[in-house]
Amino acid sequence: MIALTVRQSAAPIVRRIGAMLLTLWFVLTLTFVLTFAIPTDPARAVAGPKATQEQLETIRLSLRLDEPMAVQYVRYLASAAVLDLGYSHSQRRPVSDILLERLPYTALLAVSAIMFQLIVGGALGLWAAVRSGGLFDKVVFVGALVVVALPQFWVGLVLLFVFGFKLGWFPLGGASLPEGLVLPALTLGLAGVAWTSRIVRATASEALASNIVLGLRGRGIAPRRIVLKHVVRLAAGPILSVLALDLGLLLGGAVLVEAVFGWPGMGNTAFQALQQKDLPLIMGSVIVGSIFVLVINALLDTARVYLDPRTR
Amino acid sequence: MPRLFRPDIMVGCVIVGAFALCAVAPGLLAPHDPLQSLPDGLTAAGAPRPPGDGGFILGTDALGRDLLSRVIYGARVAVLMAVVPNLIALMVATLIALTAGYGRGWLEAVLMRMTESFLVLPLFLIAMAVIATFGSSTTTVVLTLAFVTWSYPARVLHGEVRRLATSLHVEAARSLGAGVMRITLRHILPHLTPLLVVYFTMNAAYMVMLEAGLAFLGFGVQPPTPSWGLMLADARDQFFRPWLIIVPGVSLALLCIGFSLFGNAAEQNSPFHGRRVML
Repeated sequence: MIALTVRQSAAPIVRRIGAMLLTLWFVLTLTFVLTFAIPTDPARAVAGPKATQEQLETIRLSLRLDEPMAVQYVRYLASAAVLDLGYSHSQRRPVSDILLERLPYTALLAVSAIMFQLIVGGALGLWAAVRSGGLFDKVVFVGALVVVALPQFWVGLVLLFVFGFKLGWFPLGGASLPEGLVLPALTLGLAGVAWTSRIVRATASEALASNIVLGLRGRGIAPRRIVLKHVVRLAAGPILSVLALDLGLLLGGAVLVEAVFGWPGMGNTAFQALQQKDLPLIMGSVIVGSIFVLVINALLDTARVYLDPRTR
Repeated sequence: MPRLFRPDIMVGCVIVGAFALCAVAPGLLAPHDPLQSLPDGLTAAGAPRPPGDGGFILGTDALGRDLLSRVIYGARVAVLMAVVPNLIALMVATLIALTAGYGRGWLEAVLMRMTESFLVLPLFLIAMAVIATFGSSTTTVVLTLAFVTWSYPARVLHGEVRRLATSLHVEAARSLGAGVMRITLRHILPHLTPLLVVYFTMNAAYMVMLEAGLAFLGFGVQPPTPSWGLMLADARDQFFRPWLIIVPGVSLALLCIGFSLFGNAAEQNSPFHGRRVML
């Protein structure tokens, strides 16, 4: 009996991990194919423009570029499994070292942006739902429509101009903490605030009209408590699944935002790697970025189950 | 009957229409050649002219080129990116959704797993990697944008195809002896039109932003083609000349708002309203 329950609750986790591994395999295959399709010769990229033919041959042998594609593919997957993502020739260090060093910066930026979007967007959406049809509701609706349409990196540039250059409240770039984090996190989270407020507005007004709320009211529970405890819980599920879906988008936005603010995260690393045609570093960034998204995705799913007991 | 003459639709119409006109006939509207450094384009000190100065309505850039003309010509790239990759992505998505949703079985499992894997990827990074690999010609950029955006609509369309596949009218067609091709093309595909319209308009804004973002980092169209993303890239450290940041940025934002207004209205007027198409 106990064994049965364990298996039942374990099955989704196993499936979940299976899906994650499948996605990872997909990413690895894609990056492998891209590496092969790139018109620049990897040996030439390592050796530089002045290398002789013999030197190129030696490098080709040491990189094992002479082996058949299938063998290289298997070796690629095997080394990726132990997080060996190759060697960055522009920075002369292993790719995984560079990315592990940069990952915390991106994670900090992404998490700050997510907190900002959940707290501010959630509060706006909740308030709009409570005052449904009122002036505040309308202002939030129009505001969200406009903010969603603003290109993120441009918002970053404008914020940098106003608060960094004109007012001088924040640094013009770099990773000085905590003041250097404020503008990039605001920029990255702003579109999310708009989305969150719209979705929370929809789910919260649905929840407010539901029998659950009616029952709570009937039991004489204070409206403030109903909204802050029960409606928040009911509205949290959908917003977390949207957040999980949009993580890839958030990371993409992070690349641009990091470039605008000179934030030393993975996005900036990938951008620099691309400019220097540093293939292993580019592909490594794509792979680590995907792992990052997959892991946070799994965490958000756990949070959703915790918040809404119905999905347990 | 949905109301078409609502203020938001009218505003969206005017904005998108104006930019579409710029894209189709920039030569008629632009006062100058967007690529030419004009002899009076710079001040005596060699600095770009601010808006209104010397007859340049929106000012000039660091090379003395007329900003208004560049914004008008830049609409070409923006509108192209809003339409072409968008159509390609939706065609691919529809094809996959129809095959998976009506084909069922292992084919459906494989296609939808693939779609879902794709959905969670950091697609912007992948777009950068693909463009770095194949070069940044306009064709590559168009195909890359389609490549990174088909998965989302594919998933939603797939759900809709599955719903339609069990609906009464499909059952009726099947009992009359209609084959798979006839049912998918005549009885399911037409019902996807509203959803496709909603996605096309919503995605349009996203495509414009995506391309501008790529161009901003140097992975979009290349100079000297006038493009808003490229103009912003040129202006990124020109804080003492704010109009260089404001003019292309506002054009970008305006076009996106125009498409969003359309998308919103399309969603509200479609049978999918309230079913959270975007989830």
